[in-house]
Amino acid sequence: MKLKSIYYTQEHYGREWKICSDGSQPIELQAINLIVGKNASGKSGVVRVIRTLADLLCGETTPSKLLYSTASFDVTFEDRDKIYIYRLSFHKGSVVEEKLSIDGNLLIERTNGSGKILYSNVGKMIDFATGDSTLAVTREDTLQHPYLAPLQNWGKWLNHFSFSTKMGQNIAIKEGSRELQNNETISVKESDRVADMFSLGCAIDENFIGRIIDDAKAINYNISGLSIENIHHPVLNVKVIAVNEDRLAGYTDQTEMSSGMFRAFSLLIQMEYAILRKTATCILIDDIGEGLDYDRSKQLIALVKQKAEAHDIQLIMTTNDENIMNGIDIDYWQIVVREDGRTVFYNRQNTKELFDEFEYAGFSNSKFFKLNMFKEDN
Amino acid sequence: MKGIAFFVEGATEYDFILQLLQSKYAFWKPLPITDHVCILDSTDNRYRARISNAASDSRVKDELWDSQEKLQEIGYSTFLCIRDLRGEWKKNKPKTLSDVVKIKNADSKILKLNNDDNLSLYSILAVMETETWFITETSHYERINPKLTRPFIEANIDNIEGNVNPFVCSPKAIYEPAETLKSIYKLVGLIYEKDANHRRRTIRALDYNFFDQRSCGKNRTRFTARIDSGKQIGTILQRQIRWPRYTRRSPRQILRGIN
Repeated sequence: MKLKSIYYTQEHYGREWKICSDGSQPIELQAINLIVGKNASGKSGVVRVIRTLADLLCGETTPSKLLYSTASFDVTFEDRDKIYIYRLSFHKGSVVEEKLSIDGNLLIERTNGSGKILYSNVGKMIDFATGDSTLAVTREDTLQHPYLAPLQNWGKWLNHFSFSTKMGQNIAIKEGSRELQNNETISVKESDRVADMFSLGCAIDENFIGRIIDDAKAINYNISGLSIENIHHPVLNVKVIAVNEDRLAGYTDQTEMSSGMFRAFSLLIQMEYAILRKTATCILIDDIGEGLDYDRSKQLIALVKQKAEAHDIQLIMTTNDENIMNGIDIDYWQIVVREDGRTVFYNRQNTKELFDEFEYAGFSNSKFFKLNMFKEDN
Repeated sequence: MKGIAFFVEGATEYDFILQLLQSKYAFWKPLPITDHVCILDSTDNRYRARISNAASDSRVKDELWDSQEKLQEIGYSTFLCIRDLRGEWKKNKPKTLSDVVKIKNADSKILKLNNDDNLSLYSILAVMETETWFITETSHYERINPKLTRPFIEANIDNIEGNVNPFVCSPKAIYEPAETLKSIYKLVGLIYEKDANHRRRTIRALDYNFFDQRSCGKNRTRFTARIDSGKQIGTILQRQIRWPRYTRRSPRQILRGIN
């Protein structure tokens, strides 16, 4: 399932903020998206909104628990040629409107706390009444509402990484955890549990380590082995991820790795884990490549893109780094600009002529953004 | 001292401009600043040239754009960037002659981004490659090898890549110039690859008077893609700067070169 378009508005202390395409239209997303923008243009805000949407759809949060509790989403998903159109509007944590249609057939229609929902087994729209903050779309009933499962799974399995954080470098393996004991799936949203995911990945698939090593080599980390070892510490007895680097004796544990190296490993392990668990649908990566040098960030983004394409994963990344911009074709770009309380998107779909023209400018990609060449009136 | 800055896409263009400045205009030996940048002054100390090899097609205009302001502050007022049509354009799609109009339009837009009348910005586009310029300077063949005479070359057109006759062809019609040049030299058993020795052998053998034979026209066209056989560069230099020039040099002098 892929998120095809989104239009979002929120109101917070009287201030309105929108995510839209130029002309207040929904933004169109592709399979691979690089959101490019200056600091404070709303890049991370967009990622946060998509993450919030995912959490709402799978029931991990409700409108009343949100910081921005007055907002509305108009989104379109595509799943095996089926088009899902979902509208959700809430005011101060209470749902005002909720509507879902698939291929033009209305399946949920709700105002405030009551409405109608399709019971598939009966073949009828039946009245329901629920709490103000409970979403109808989160209902779990494989007999009556099987059509909701793809939406809920999309929300449940969304991966979200912030490349400017530690990405789990300071978290060791939780040896007594339920997931590890029972071989259960760790939610990929718990992205700081990379050591646990690595441990589980190794337990499930003997080739897991080999694939991570291949990935690491593809981004020019010369390592010969990956393992779970005790942390290098005189007193602590905890297990962490360790690498054997060429030309270095012994292993380097995760706490000793450079932060850039660990973040790259963390991303690769978590992607591979999600692929292994067959749960990967959409990956959000905020500030991809931050802290990596030019060559490595370029290699990392190429590898991530290649894996996403091979496994039909939607990729939504953000950056304001010129090296990253130069490493990915502007066809995948979504340029965000903050204009009058809106975060406006410019992409090939809505600014085709200028994107086409730039192909002949002879500049590197970052100039397209830096010189505002995506705007007619630059 | 008035400055002119060249931004080129590779070693071939770098060596070509260097030799042009030294052979045709009276410039001293270059002072290398880095592996990719050198500076050289005219013998009368009135002009300074800076040549920067971006070593990547897509970096040529970037480098010009990024360094233009600082260079302007220290006296540079003429900027030329040189790249070819075959290079690495977006999406790895090689461009063709039919794309030149679009490239010109894009250049015009770029000009509007920096509309400083004190600047002269030129974008030179070699069609398809810089080797086109070498092919069309036909007097150099005999300096490369005395057997490479016009009758000999014309008698062997069938063995030349694209069946190009360098003496009569239109430069725009040479689709793979480097391959064509290679096949011409191969007629006498010589190799032309993109290594320093081969390209410098050709560059030293060129007659640089060839490269300013045509007028640029009266219009002051700035930062506009130009297509020709390389003559526009010499013409631009002539028009921009009244440099002291050597008189026409004998083939022997040219063959000896400066370096």
